[in-house]
Amino acid sequence: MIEVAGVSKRFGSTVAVQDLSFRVEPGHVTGFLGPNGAGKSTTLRILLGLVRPDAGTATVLGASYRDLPHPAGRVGAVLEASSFHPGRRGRDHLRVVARESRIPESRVDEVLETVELTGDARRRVGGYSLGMKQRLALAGALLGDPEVVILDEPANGLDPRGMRWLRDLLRGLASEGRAVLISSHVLAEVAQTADEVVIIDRGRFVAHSTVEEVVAGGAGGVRVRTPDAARLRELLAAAGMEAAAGRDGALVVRGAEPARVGELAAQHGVVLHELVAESGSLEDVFLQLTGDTA
Amino acid sequence: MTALLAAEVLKLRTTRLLLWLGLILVGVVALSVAAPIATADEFGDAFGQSDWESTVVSAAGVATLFALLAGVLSLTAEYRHGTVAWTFLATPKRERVVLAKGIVSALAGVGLALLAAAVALAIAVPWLSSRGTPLELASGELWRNVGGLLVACAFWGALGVGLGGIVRNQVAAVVLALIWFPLIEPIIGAINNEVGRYLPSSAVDALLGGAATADPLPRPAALALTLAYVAVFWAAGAFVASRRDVA
Repeated sequence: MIEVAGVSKRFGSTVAVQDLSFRVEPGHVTGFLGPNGAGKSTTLRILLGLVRPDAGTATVLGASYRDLPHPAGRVGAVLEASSFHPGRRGRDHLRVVARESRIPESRVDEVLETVELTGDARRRVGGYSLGMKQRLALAGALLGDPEVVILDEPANGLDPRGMRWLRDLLRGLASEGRAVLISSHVLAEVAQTADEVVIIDRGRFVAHSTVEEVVAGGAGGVRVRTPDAARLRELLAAAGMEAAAGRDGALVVRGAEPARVGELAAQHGVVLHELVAESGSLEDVFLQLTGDTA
Repeated sequence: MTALLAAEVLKLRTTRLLLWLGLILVGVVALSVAAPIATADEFGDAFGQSDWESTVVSAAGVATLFALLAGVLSLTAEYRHGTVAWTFLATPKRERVVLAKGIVSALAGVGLALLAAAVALAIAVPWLSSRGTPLELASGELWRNVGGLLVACAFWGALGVGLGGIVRNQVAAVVLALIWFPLIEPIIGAINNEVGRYLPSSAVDALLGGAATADPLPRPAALALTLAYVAVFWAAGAFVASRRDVA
C-alpha cells in the first residue's frame, strides 16, 4: 500500500533520510516514530511527491504519488497544522481543496461534521486554535474518502478529548481496510492507536515491529529514594544491579525487583524513603532504540 | 483543467486580496484622473486642447502594476502561507498549476483594468462635460486605449505568475517586479533603445501603439514578443516550481 525503498535525501550538507525502507499494509494504523529531526516529515513529503528523493523510490497504491491520477481522491494527507491562508474561512479552504481535487462539494459539509468543526466552519482560519487547525487539516485529508491516510504529527495541539476522538477516528479508518500512517515524536501518543510502529532516528531505519513487541522490549525497573544514595549504589553494584540517577535524587534500578532492592537495603541498614516498581516506560524504550541516553 | 481554473478563481474569491487591490486601485485612479482635470487651466488653450481621451485612460494605466502584483502573489502567497502543499497534493503536475494560475491571473488583470477604466470614465465624463470639454465617447481612440489597457493588464497578470514561480519569496518577488519593470526597464531603454525596445514593458507598449517607447516594434512583432515572454516566464516558473522541494 505504502512502500519506501532505499530512500535517501540530503538538504545541503544535512542528511535528512539515509537509505530508508519500510512497508505499510492496509487495515492497520502504523505509527511512524522518531525524535524531532529524525527525518519523518521529509519521508512523508517524499511519499507525497512534495520532495524529490536523491535516491530510492517511494510509492503509494503502487505508483509514485506524482503519477497517480487524481491522487487527492485516493490519498489523504495532513502535513502541518498551520498551512492555511489566515484570511480564508475554514469551509472555503475545504471548498478550494475539493474543487482542485475534483471531489464533489457535498463532501465539504460531511467532513466538517466528521471533525466536529461545523460550528466554526464560516470563521476565518486566522482565528482558529491549533486544535481547530488540526481538525480542519484532517477534514481536508478525509475529503476524498481516501484509501491511504498519511498524517504528520496529527496529535499536535489536540486536547485529551481531541486525542481520544482522533484515536477512535483512525482506528475506524483502519478497520475499514484503509492504510493509516501517522508520525509522532511521542511514542505514548501512538501506542494506543497504532498496531505497528516504524522507528527511525537521524534519517536511518531503527525498527519495525508491533506495538506489543516494542512495549515488551522495555524492561521495568525500581525507583528508590534514600538519604544514602552513594552507599546504596555501591551495594547494588556489588549485587550486580546497576542504578542510575533519577529525578530529584532518586535512583532508578533497571531490570530489578522491588523485593530484591528492599532486602538488600535492609540487610545493610540503609534507610529507604521510597521504593516503587516502575513498568517499562515507552519513552525509555524509545530512547533505548534510538540510541539516546536520558 | 476546468476544475483547476475554477479552483483558482475560488481561491481569489475566498480571500480579501483582490478586494484590497481593487479598493486601492480605485483610490489611486480617482486621484490621478481628478488631479489633471482639477489643475488644468480652464481659461487657457491648454484645457480645451488637451488630449483627454488618452489622458483619462493613462490615468487608469496604473492598473498594470496591480495586475502584475496579483499575478506575482498568486503563487508566492501560497508558498508564504504553506497552502502550496495542498495545491501540489491535489495537482502534483505543477506545470498545470502554473498554467491555471497564469490564465486566472490574466483574467484578474482584465478585471482590474475594467475597474480602473470604469472609475476613470465615471469621474472624467461628467466632470469634463460640465466644464464644456466633453470626452468624445464615440471616438475610436478612447476605446482603443481602453482595449490596450485590458491587454496590458492580462499580460502583466500572466507574466507575474511565472515570476512568482521563479522567485518564491513573496517580498523578493514583489520588490523585484515593481522595481524591474516600471523603473529599470525604462532606464535600460534610455541608455540603449536597441535593447530596451525588446524588453517586456516596451513590447507591451508597442502592442498598444508605442506611446511610451521610442522607435517601438511593429504591432505583429510586438504581439509575438509579448506572447513569447508569457510563454518563457510560465515555462521557467513551472520548471523551477516543479523541481523545488516543498519542505
